[in-house]
Amino acid sequence: MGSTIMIDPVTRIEGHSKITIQLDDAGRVVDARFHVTQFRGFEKMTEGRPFHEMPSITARICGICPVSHLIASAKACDALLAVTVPQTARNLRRIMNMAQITQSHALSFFYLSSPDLVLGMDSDPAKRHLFGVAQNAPQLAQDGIALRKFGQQIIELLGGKRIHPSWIVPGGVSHPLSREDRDTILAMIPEALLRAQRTIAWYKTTFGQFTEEISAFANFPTLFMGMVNPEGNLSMYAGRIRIVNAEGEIVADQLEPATYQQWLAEAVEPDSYLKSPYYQPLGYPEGIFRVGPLARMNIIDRCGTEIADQEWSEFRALQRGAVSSSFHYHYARLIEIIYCIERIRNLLNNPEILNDHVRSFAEPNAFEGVGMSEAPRGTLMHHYKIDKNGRIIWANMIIATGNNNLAMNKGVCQVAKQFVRGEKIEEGMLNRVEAVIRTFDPCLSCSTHAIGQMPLQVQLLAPDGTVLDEKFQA
Amino acid sequence: MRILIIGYGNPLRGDDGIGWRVVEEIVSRQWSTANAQLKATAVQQLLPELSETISAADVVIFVDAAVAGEPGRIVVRTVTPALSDPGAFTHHFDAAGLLGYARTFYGRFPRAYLVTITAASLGYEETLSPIVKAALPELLRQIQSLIQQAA
Repeated sequence: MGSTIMIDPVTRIEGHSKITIQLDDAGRVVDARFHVTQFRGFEKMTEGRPFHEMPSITARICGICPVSHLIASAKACDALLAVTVPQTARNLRRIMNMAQITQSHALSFFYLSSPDLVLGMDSDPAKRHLFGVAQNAPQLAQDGIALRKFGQQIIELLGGKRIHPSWIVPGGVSHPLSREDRDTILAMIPEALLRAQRTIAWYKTTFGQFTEEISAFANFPTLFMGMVNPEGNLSMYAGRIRIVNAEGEIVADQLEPATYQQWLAEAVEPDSYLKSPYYQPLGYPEGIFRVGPLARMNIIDRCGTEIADQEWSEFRALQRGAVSSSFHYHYARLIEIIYCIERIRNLLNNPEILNDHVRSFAEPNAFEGVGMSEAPRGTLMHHYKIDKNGRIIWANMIIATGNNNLAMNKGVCQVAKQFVRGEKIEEGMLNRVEAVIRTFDPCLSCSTHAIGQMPLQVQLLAPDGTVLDEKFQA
Repeated sequence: MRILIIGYGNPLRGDDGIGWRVVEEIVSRQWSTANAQLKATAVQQLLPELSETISAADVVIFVDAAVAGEPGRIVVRTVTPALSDPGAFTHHFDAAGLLGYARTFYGRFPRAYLVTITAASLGYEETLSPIVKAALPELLRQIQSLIQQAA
């Protein structure tokens, strides 16, 4: 019987989780698991609520990406109303979604992951944070803060506030965009684009230092899933599902979101509150797939904007077939920031964006609706059923982070086998185990706030439960 | 002279919304000073993104609710930059940490004050408690006094 190492909680991610690493008698890693230890229960607690409350309620699932839930929920409600959302409203929703992706990606890359990239995986954890980045790469830190602010300001201008805006509603958006606010956002674009381009140029000079991490950070063949438009281009708001395999070959294309139950299923593991979705035709767990920036860059034919497409071409040259290392989520995230800034600019330059017809009104015309969109972390689905009075009788939400659950577990195991050795806990090896999780940027319902500090507790246990080694870090 | 007032807290939690109420009062009363640009903003929580904004100000006055002390008690104190807890910057961030960010990232930080009033109720309500509501005029007077001193 072997030993177990626990990392509890995992730090610098959004939410609460732990990792256990199982060693054999020789001190070799035989298995590792990523456990999500918080429970939310939104699907159950929304039963009985009027359907039109769902966007506001479900946005509370997350304080980092409420806009993603607003959009998926509003789209599910659009389906219940069976209305055509005005084109201007669809484009305004797109802009808010991309502003949110920008600010969320900035949080992930600059705040949470850049300390590892700038200071090194083995650096002193007491200095491995954004302050440390500021001291070693001040321009990078400033760019990160500015890009997050850029996204948040757009959300605030459109929705009235940065967190939990209630502007996206069933049928459209609650009010049109003013000329003044349009011009304010457009004026911010050049600087944001410059900062994003400067960051990706820096990143491309550094990731060569991480060849061992690239080879071992969840680097294995899986399927990749995400939304594309009818031309096969990157689509964050609307479209159909494409799935490609590790060779980059299309396995399924233009799957209608409302049919998801025919090709997607959710497995439940006893040691985690996070479900494990899989591609149904391949079964469980062979139907493992990844979503989010890396997956999106792997499934598309092109991004659809000038600078992002140039970067995407370089990215795809990293590997024949699909780019398989999850370390490259970072790279993909930076390309998507560029894409979002360019796309926001292009949408705002269309005069129709100021059209004041931004909402369709109706009573419920269907008893079931599915909404799907691309969230920062991947494909997000909301599925509701209502009664004749418009009250929710059943809800299912498949969250982007959940879609990556199987890959995160497999990735933790791969990294642990590569870097964890013996019965002594080394800071660098444990940071790498956490860092592979961070590449996925999991959002474990961060609206569950922590009280005080979030320490990292690691225990190395002997077969009889004796603590062989233990470390805490605040 | 650029003076920035930042009220922060959760307006859905009773007296924790005092920062928002103060900003509303300042905006509705159209406070102004002869020798300074005055700007007031309300936020739910302090975030690193505010560091750029405050680095451009000469004086910042933070307004928040406190939990320690007699309900309704007003305390004014100066704030100096500090290293903030790096592991919790997305959920817990204080005025001193924000000043620390401004100093580290932008090379300057403003003179800063933190004005707090001890809450009597932090329940699920959008109104102030009678005690804090009664103390609001004095709270505004003290903030105005800080502004006049700064200008």
